[in-house]
Amino acid sequence: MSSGEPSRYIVDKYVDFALEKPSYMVLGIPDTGLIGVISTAHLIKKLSLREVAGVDSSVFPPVAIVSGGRIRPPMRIFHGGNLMVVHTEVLPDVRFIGDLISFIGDLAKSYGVDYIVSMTGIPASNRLELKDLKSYVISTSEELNNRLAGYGLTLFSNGYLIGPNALLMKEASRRGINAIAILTESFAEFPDPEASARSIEVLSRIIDRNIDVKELIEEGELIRLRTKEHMRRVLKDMASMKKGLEHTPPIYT
Amino acid sequence: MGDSLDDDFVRRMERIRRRLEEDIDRFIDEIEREASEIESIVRPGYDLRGRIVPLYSIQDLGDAIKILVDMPDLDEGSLNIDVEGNILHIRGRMRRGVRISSWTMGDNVEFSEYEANIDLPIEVPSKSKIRSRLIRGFLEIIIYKY
Repeated sequence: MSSGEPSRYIVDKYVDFALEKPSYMVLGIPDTGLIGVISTAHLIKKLSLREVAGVDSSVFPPVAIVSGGRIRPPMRIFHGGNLMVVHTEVLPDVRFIGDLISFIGDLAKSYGVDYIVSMTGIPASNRLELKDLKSYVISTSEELNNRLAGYGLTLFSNGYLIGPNALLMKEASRRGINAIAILTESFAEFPDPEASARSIEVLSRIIDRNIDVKELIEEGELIRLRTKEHMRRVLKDMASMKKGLEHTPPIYT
Repeated sequence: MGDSLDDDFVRRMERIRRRLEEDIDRFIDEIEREASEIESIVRPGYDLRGRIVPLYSIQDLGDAIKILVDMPDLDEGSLNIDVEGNILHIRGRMRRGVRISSWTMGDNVEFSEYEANIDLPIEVPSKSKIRSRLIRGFLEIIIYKY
């Protein structure tokens, strides 16, 4: 890493790949409503993305994923055209999340990524009553914000970002990397496939690619059931990250 | 000169005290995290008899407590809500059995029931104070305090 210390992260490349332009890294990490993870899992499936690399580290829990008889590390990288999807269902200890985000910045630079896009939820206390979920976007530059507004997307103007996505946006901003966060109204404590579908609709506009989300809506209840144990673990991490502060408007904006 | 040595000593001791406190905090965090990991392994949100412990949240509304329980695919007719003191018992069957594969369970367990025993922050005055509704697989329970 930039400090000259050996990296904590081991990248295992299965196949060489090159991203077409403009290139996007879509990040799926466990966070509010599991939106990032559910969304990237859906993207990988719907766009038939190819698994091209994996990332392991001593900061991850001792987990190996077995996929089609192959051993895979916790962080998996998929590729197709101008998309690179980074998908992880586990997070390191909260003390190492900043370090992981810094590594993701390095990874984006090494593959010549033009834009990092992350998806997460904004906890809505009346989520059960909401049918038309609102999404907001925020980016690391004014120029990019203007472009996003031009796509008819609503900018997240004032408030807090908390958790891995907050670190990502700060890191990208500091390093001059174009990054966009898509924030969608969601449950805080439950997996939210509907909010994931809404986030993907926004992503579709940004990357100019149509992605069918019908399955996420129709199979929503089953997805909630399958992902509930992940959510249970993420809730513990969220508590230590002081998630929930999003409800509080900043005093000075 | 003596004062300066004393000040320097106090500052050093203060730095050592702070470092020790930080180390102890980190150590406690580490233990809590490990304990929570172990708990999630030995007490997962399901059992091998096909019962699922649903996720839930509790919110204090002032004059009432709101409990939201995630119960996808619940057969509403099978729902049973009971209360004993400050423990809320919820049971219900799913409309269809669902297989969820996991290395701890294999592929052979079919889940078809929900069961939750929820510690409430209040004693429930009577069953007549409980209202519930099911929306898109979410069970919302309101318990009035008075």
